Formats: sequence, structure tokens, C-alpha cells
Amino acid sequence: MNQIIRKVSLFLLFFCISISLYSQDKLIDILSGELKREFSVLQKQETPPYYISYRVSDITSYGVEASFGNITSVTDSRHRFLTTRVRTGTYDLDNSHEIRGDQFDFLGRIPSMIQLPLDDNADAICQTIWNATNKEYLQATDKYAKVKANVAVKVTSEDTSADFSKNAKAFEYYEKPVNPAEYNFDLNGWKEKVKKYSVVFLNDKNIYQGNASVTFYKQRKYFISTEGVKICENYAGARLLINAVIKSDDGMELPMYKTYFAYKPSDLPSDKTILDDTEEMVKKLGKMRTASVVEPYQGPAILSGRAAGVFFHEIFGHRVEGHRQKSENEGQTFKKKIGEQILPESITISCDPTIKNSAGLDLNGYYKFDDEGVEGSKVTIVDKGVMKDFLMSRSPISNFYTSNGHGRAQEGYQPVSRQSNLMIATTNPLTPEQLKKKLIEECKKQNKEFGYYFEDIQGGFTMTGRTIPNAFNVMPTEVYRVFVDGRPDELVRGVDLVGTPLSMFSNITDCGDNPGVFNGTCGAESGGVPVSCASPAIFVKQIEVQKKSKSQEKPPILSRPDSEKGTP
Amino acid sequence: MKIKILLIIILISTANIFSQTPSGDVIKRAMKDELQRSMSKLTLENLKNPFFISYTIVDAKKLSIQASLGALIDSDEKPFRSQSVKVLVGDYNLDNENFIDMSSGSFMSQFGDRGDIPLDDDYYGIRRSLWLATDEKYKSAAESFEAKLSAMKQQNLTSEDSLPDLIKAKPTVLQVNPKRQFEINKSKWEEIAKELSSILKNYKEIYSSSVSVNLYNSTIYFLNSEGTETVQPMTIAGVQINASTMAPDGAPLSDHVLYYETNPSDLPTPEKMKSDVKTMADNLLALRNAPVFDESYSGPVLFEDQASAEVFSQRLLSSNGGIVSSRKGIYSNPQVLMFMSQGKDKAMEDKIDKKIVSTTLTVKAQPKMSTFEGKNLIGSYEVDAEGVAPDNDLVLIQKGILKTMLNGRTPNQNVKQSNGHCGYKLGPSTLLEGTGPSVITVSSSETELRADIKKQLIEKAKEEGLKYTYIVRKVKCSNSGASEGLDMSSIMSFAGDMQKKGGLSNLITIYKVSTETGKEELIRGANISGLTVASFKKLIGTSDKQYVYNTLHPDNEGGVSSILSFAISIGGGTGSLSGKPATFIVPDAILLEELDIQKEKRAITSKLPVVENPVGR
Repeated sequence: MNQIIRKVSLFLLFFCISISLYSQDKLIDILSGELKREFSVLQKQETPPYYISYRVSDITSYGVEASFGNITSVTDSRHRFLTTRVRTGTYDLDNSHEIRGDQFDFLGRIPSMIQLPLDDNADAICQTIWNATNKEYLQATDKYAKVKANVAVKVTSEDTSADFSKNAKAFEYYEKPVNPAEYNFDLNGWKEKVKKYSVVFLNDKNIYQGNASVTFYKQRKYFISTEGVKICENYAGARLLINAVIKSDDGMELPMYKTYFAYKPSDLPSDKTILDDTEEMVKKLGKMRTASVVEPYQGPAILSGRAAGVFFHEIFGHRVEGHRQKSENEGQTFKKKIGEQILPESITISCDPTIKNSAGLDLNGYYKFDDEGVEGSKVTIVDKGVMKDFLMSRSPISNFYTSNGHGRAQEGYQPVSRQSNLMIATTNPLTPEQLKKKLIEECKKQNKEFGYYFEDIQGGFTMTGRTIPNAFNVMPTEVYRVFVDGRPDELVRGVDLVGTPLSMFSNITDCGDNPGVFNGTCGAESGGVPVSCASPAIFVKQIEVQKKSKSQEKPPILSRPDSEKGTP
Repeated sequence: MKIKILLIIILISTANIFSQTPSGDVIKRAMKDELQRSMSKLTLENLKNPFFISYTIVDAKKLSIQASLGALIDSDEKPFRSQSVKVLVGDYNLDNENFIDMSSGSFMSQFGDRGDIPLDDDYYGIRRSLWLATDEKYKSAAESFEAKLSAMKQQNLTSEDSLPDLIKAKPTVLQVNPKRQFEINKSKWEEIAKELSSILKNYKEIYSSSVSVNLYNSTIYFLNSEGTETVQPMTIAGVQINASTMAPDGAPLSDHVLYYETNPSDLPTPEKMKSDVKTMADNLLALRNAPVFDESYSGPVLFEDQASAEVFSQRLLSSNGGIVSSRKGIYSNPQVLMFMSQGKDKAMEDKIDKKIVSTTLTVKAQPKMSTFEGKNLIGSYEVDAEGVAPDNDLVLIQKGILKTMLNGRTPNQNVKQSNGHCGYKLGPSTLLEGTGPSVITVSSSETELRADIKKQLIEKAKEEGLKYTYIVRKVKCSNSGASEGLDMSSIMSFAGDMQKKGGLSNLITIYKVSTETGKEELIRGANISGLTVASFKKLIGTSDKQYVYNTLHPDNEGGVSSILSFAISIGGGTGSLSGKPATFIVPDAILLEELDIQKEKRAITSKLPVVENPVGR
């Protein structure tokens, strides 16, 4: 009897939640209804789906771009994107399984940008979902048949774990729409601002591209699945980008960037901060134009916090994404390193989507649930220098069977494990002076005239495949030579920081005390996802720099028109 | 009556005042000054200086709406500007163009430049944007000129290769003001799009449908170093309704209703559009249940209305085996050649002064004719994209004899002058230029009543001993704005189209006609093959009534450009306008003596959806 009552009350509780949820957002109701209908009819098929999920991103976006004080583009739009997922087979073996040796595998990864109607019109929305589900169901059935055959004819794969993990906990999560006043984007106000920022670039006549742009998005994100998960949440982010390009006389393109991120446009830095930064950038660009070009070099270096963040993201973060440990095309740098010391004991690295800000800055890699409907959780990847864990989606790998909420994707793409907020922490922070001292000592030891200091990095890329060298290449934008003899630091240009991850890791010995934050969008096979990295400065005993490949084009032949004012 | 006329005059003059805003002055002044500076000062050591520069700036507003089943999917209204810069190095006889080199940037330049051109009228801002584009273009022109010279030294040149690269043109100074105000009323068109699309809610048998409204209102500024200076409007109001479904045997079926006008006020009333949509939907239902064509037919075929216009548009006014000039160009290496020439029919140049179609036919280009029987023609313009004012009455085919071909400033073997047909076409993101039809009129010296043509069809078929014959009334228009996702079947069908030489796009409505009773029966699954310009030699019947067809003429050049435009079209999403605005005024029925009709071939036929359409329950 007792049990029955409990069951009933549980039922009632669920019932109440559903009622309140539905009445608050009609789209959830429509999505659930169609999901239920599709799933139940398809169950009667010879190869029924065992799982279907729908993701909907309702995105309102604004943007203004300006060049040298002129508005060049204005965006004000709203779109709703649908991404469906149909799985046939079983959790152990389904249509998502890698078909080894398939040359056309990439066709299955082409994103499907399906737009749903913006109005909550059940007919129109359901028909689009119906077409998308039908198409995907047919593909899934076909692919599953091929998977079964492929498994039968090929040797056993190195990693025999299941295709989809069973953390099938039914739950509902609902967030009310945000207060529009709090997330207001004043389009006209921003037009004036970006004009004001970008006009500063007119101050140096050699700058030939000088832009300021701002984007802001507000998103209602929906996820529902046949496992009984229903999620409706909000995201928002404003990003301001200041960038300019100058060319040296030998044709080298010298860009500089500065980005600012905040959840709310009103939290972006003040005009004064941005104008000061822009003026600073103009000065640096002027210096950089005539700075000397680096020669290939091996030796010690310090990476600033922001530079170190990008560096860790590229060379480490991508290599601890779980699904890469499974694919037979991947290099799997860290798969066999679990339990091994890979960094000094003072360093701990985690990926934590649950933090909203660090060092007073909003973090772009925050989320409540990932794109497989799994709650994001903190993953300690390296604990006191020892490799411990991977970033996991619901695609299990041997010894790591469950998702830790890192299955992420852009609209239209299928999720794979991706980074969130990559946090590097040290138990032994050194002051900038101490770090510099270390650098100089190490230079002397290695008999070098100078070491390098990397102030900023615009981004980079890394190759993780098995058939190509597992190298990385990050593109620093602001680099200084730090001399042993105490001469002032010298700004240099044309630097690429290159290497292989394991050798670079073995040379990291110390960290600074002031964390730098890099907010950005990371692109990989599941599209662009918002991420951040927060890291203190790092000291590396041995790095390798090479000359940057430069544009072969000379600087513009004629001077910038406005610099010739007075002539007709 | 007099009062009315007076009013109209006042209205026109107000429109002129509005259009002559100082905005245009700033743009023109910035273009002129930067062009002058570039012509006099651009120079690189050891390389040739530019001998020709032209600038185009498009100042546009556009509204783009998509709706389905009564709901909005997208609605976007925004101003935008684009620029296109051409810099030529060498001289009129030999410059850097007509050279195909995959490695140089010139290859992609046909897809427009996207500079940071200011949306506001800032003199220096506009000059900065032109300055960077000119610099870039000059460097790549100078480089590709040298590469071309080198390639020419290593090749045995044909007489075509030795033709001048650019025909001299007299300077034109012209400012064309819009005839009418073009109003963009977003909420009004959102409502219309919703209403039109909601009609299809009642059709359970239609699997997907969309309504796109695109209003495009622009002023184009053109300037070149020869002294040509033109300002002209280019406006399009397009409504595209697409619907698709599957027949019970899995055959894909689709139909569309397309309206293209120069001004939104010329579009049909919502009531008229609604009834057209309903007719289309009913036709799709009828097609689903129509019998499949399952014979092999060779004999007379009658084309009526839209199908008649499309036959001329697709086969005769094509640069792929038709009378639109296109230059082969010099190839940097043979691999490129292999890629480019694929799927391209032989051009018509060598047929000048020869009979190419029935001697009853006369075909003219009349780009300056802006209205016909009260209808505004979207193919009309005063000056083309190269600043050349076209002839008013250009005879292309006289009594069956090819007189000239549509041409821009790039000569071919037999057409050595521009006749002002390098026009603007709507591209995926901006305006592009390309040689193609303007206002094309087709007339016949022997016409008959439309009703008599069907009789003639039947008689002819009987003569051949045929029990049945065929009438085609509607064919697929390739620029209908229907969204096509990238999947295996669309790639396959594209690959299939590439191989096809001659032929016509998919038939939407074709009727099987009993030669016995004259009874018509709608059928599906038929394809016309082997339709080439030569097929018009056997034109045996022409209606005395004209069909006026405003359309966006596709760029069916074949080769690499079609691969790229395919890639762009699938990436571009739904319903944007593309193609060259063109008007065809043709006989509303034509009877061709002999054509082959075959069963439609498909590489893959999907199964019908397992789950029922959620709509129309």
C-alpha cells in the first residue's frame, strides 16, 4: 500500500511538473508530441530506432561591424535551428559506430541546417520535424546495416566499448525566458560605439584594416529525447572584437586582435578601457611594422596567461577529448598516459562548465547541460601533474564509460566530446619577477643571449590524426625577446610557436600568479562551440619557434586615401 | 483625363527628387577620385601598369521572407552595399582576362568582391574600400598577365585565342532614375507569405512546401577609366512558392508558382496568388495519382505557355550550345581544361549567317522595351554591367538565319562588338555580371490560332501512326528557390545533369493526348531528351498569341562555374533569388516535329515515409 501511494505521488509530482512546463513553453509541447508520435510508429519497423532526440536552438542575434569609423554591416535576426538524432541498433552497437575504411564517412558528418518556423505553429513545426526525422531514420537504418557488416568483416577494433552510454535518467529542467531588459542590446548605441573605437585606427596611416565589431546572441535552447529528458534553458553572450592589420615593408601581414566577452552587453568594458586598448594597439602595430623578424630558435620562454590558455587548449585540450581515444584514425597521445606524471606536481588541469566567471571575467565555456542533455560537470583531467580523466560525451571508451557532460556541438552538427572552460591551476605561483628570473637563469644555462616572452596568441591549430605528424602550431601576435644582459625587452615579429605536445609538456616547469582568460569559439568536427581557457603564465624550458609563413603581397602601393587629404 | 496626366507627371518628378539624394553624389565622387588616383599612380616595378579600371557599387535594400504552412521561418530586412573592381593590365588586344588559372585569385573573382564598404556615405570610407580592392586586383592582374603570356608561349594558339580580350567602347554617361517608388513593407509581406503558405496546410499529401518573398531594391553606380559613368536602378520583387511530395511509388514530385516583377506593386493580388497556389497544390495531388509514362516516344510534341518560354530560355538563349556568346579562354594547364569543358555543348559562333532554326522564326533582343501590353518587363535595362548601352532592336535570328549572338565586351570569332548584353545577375550574396538574355522576343511569320495547333499535333501524330501524342505545359525552373539539402541524391542528380547534353529540365505537367479522341490525360515520370537548337528547325506550328514570361535566367554554362554555383546554392539555404532577370515574349504554343520522350531515370528512389504526415489530419 505504502509503495502504491509513493508511486502515485511520484506520478502526481511528474504530472504537475509536466503541466507547468508545457504551459510555459508551447514549443516543448509541440516537440514532445511529435517525438512521441514518430517514436511509437517507428517502433513497428523491422529496424526500429532505440533513441531519438531533438535539439532546437532559438537564436536572436545582433551584430554591428565598423571599419575606420564607418559602419559596414548590421545584423538583426532570429532563427530556429533543429538538429535531430536517430539511433538504430542497440546502445552497444548502433549506427553511430565508426565504419573503418569508409572513404565517404565525411558525408555523414555534413551538418544539416534545418530551420524551424519562428512561430509556435504546430503544423509547420511538426512537418519540418517529420521530414527531418524521416530522412535521418532512413540514413540510420542504412548505416546500421553497413556497421553490422563492417564489424563482421574487420579485425576487432582496439577499443570495443559501446556506442552510446546508458545514463538514461529521465528528468525535466525548465528556465523561464530571460528578462529582456537585462539582456538588452542597444543597436543604435552600439553603432556609435564601434564607429568610435574603429576610427582610432586612422591615427596610423600604415594601418590598412582597422575594424571594431560587436555581436550579441540570446538563445533559448531545447533538448528532448525518448529517454524522457526535457530541457529548456537560456544562453547569452556579447563579444566585442577590435582588430587591425598593418604590413611590414617586406609584405608580412601583422594583425592584432583584442576581444572582450560578457554575458550581457552592458557588462562589456567601458568606452575608456576599449579606447585606451585600441590606442595601445595602434602604437604597438606601429612598432611591430619595423620590428625585426625572428630567426628559428630553440630555448626557454614564458607564455602569458592568455597565451598559455590558447596553448593548453590547442595542444592539450583537444587531445583529451574522449572520442579521439576511440577512433582508429586518431593519434591518441594521452590514452596510455592515465596514472602517469605528465606535468609538474604543482599543476592541476580541469575542464569545468559549471563556472561562470574567473578573475572577474565572464567565461564563454559555461553551460548547464551539454548537447546530449547531460548535465555538465567538472572534470579533473590532470591532478597534481598526473593524468586522470578525459572529456566524455555519451560515446564511451574503455575504462571511461559515462559522460561527464562534454558532448557538445553547434546547431546542425552531432555532438562529440569538446572542451568547456579549461582551467589551469598551480599550487606554487611565482610572481612575474620570479618567472623572469627563471627565464634568464635558464637562458644562461643553455647559453642563450635571450629568451622569448609571448604576450598574446591569436589562435592556433593542432593535428591529432594518426597518419600525420602530431604537431601543433600556435600563432602569436605579440612576442618579445627578453635579454640576459638586462637590455629592455624587444618586440619582434613573424613568429610561429611549433612543436609536439609531449615534448613541450615535459618542459613546462613553473606557473605565474596571475591568471589570464581567453574566451573564444573553438572549431572542430562538431562545429563551433563557445569555450574559454584560464591559465596563469607558464615558464617552459624549451620551446621552438619558426618563421611565420608570410603573405607574398607587398603592402598597398598607394597610401590610404584619407592620409592624402588635401589632394583631389 | 488631363488632370490625370498632370498628376502622373508630378509623381514621377517627385520620385526623381527622392532618388537624387546627395548620397549618390558622395559615392560617385569617391569612385571617381579613387579611380583617377589609381589610373595615374598604380605601378609596380617590372610589371605593366593598368590600362583599364572599372568600379561598380551596388547600394541596395533587401527584404527576404520565408514561410511555411502559415508560419514565418525567416524574415530579414537590411541595407547592404557591395563593390566590384576590375583592373586590367596589358592592352585591349591582350590583357589578363580570358585566362583560366586555378592558382590565381582571378578564378574566384566571378563571385564578387566583398569589401568593407561603408553603409553610410563617407567619402574616405568608400575610397578606402575601393583602394584596398584595387590594390589587390592590380597585383593579381599584373601577375596573371605574366602567367598568361607564359602559358601562351607554350601553347599552340587557336584563332579564338588570338582574339582581342576587350572590345573598345564609346564612353556612356547616363543617369537612369527609377520610374516608380519601390516600397518595402515588411509586415505586409510577412502576412501575405503566411497566408499563401497556410493554404498548403489542407494538403496531407504534400510533404513539404515553402513560400519565399524577396524584394530587392538597388541603385548601381558604374564608372570606368574610359569615361563611362552610369547610375541605374535594379529592382526585383519575387514571390516563389515551392511544394514537393512523393508519388506512392516513391517518385519525387514537385511544383512551383513563381512571380518576378520589377516592383512589388506589379505582383498579382494576394487573391490571385492564393488561387494559383491552390491550383498548384491540386496539380501535385493529381500528379501523385497520375499514371507513369512507360513507353518510348518519338514524335511531335506541343509546348504551351510556360513550357514554350522555358524551351526558348533553356535551349536557345543559353551559352551552352545556344546563342549566348562565351569565350573559351586560355588555360594555364590541361587539368583545368578537363574540368572546365565538361558538359559543355559546342557554341554557335561558326553558324553566323547560316540557318539554325526554322525559317519562320525571328528572334530579337529588345532590352530597352520596358513594358509589353501593359506588363512591366524585368529583363529591360538602359545600360549593361560594362556600361554599354544596348541596341534597341537587336536581331539575333532573322527568318531562321543566325545574325549575331548576345555579347558583352569580350569578342568571339564572329561577334566583334558588344551589343550590351553583359548584364547584372543576382548571385548568392551580391550582384554579379554575366552575358545572357535581356528582353527576348520570338516571332513567327506563319502563325495559327492556338486551338488549331493541337489539331495539327494530332494530325501529325496520326501521320506517324501514333495512338498517343504529348503536350507539355509546365517544366521545372531551376532557379525556383526550392531548398535542396546536400545529400547523396542531390549530388547524384547534379552529376546526372552535368552529363546531359541537350534536353530540358524536369517536366512538371505533361499530358498524353489520344490521337483518336483528343482526350488529355496527365502523366508523370517522363523526360525530354535530345532537345537542342537544331530541334527548332522542325518547328511546324506556332500560335499567334504571345506569352510574356518574366524569369530569372539560370547560368547554365556547365563546367566549373556550375559546380561552384551548385555548391553555393546548397550552402545558401532557402529561397534566395538567383539568376539574370530576363523576359521572354514568345508564341504561347509551339509544335516541334520530332522529339524523344523517355522514362525518367533515377539512381535512388526513397521509400515513402513510415510515419504519416502530421499535417492535414
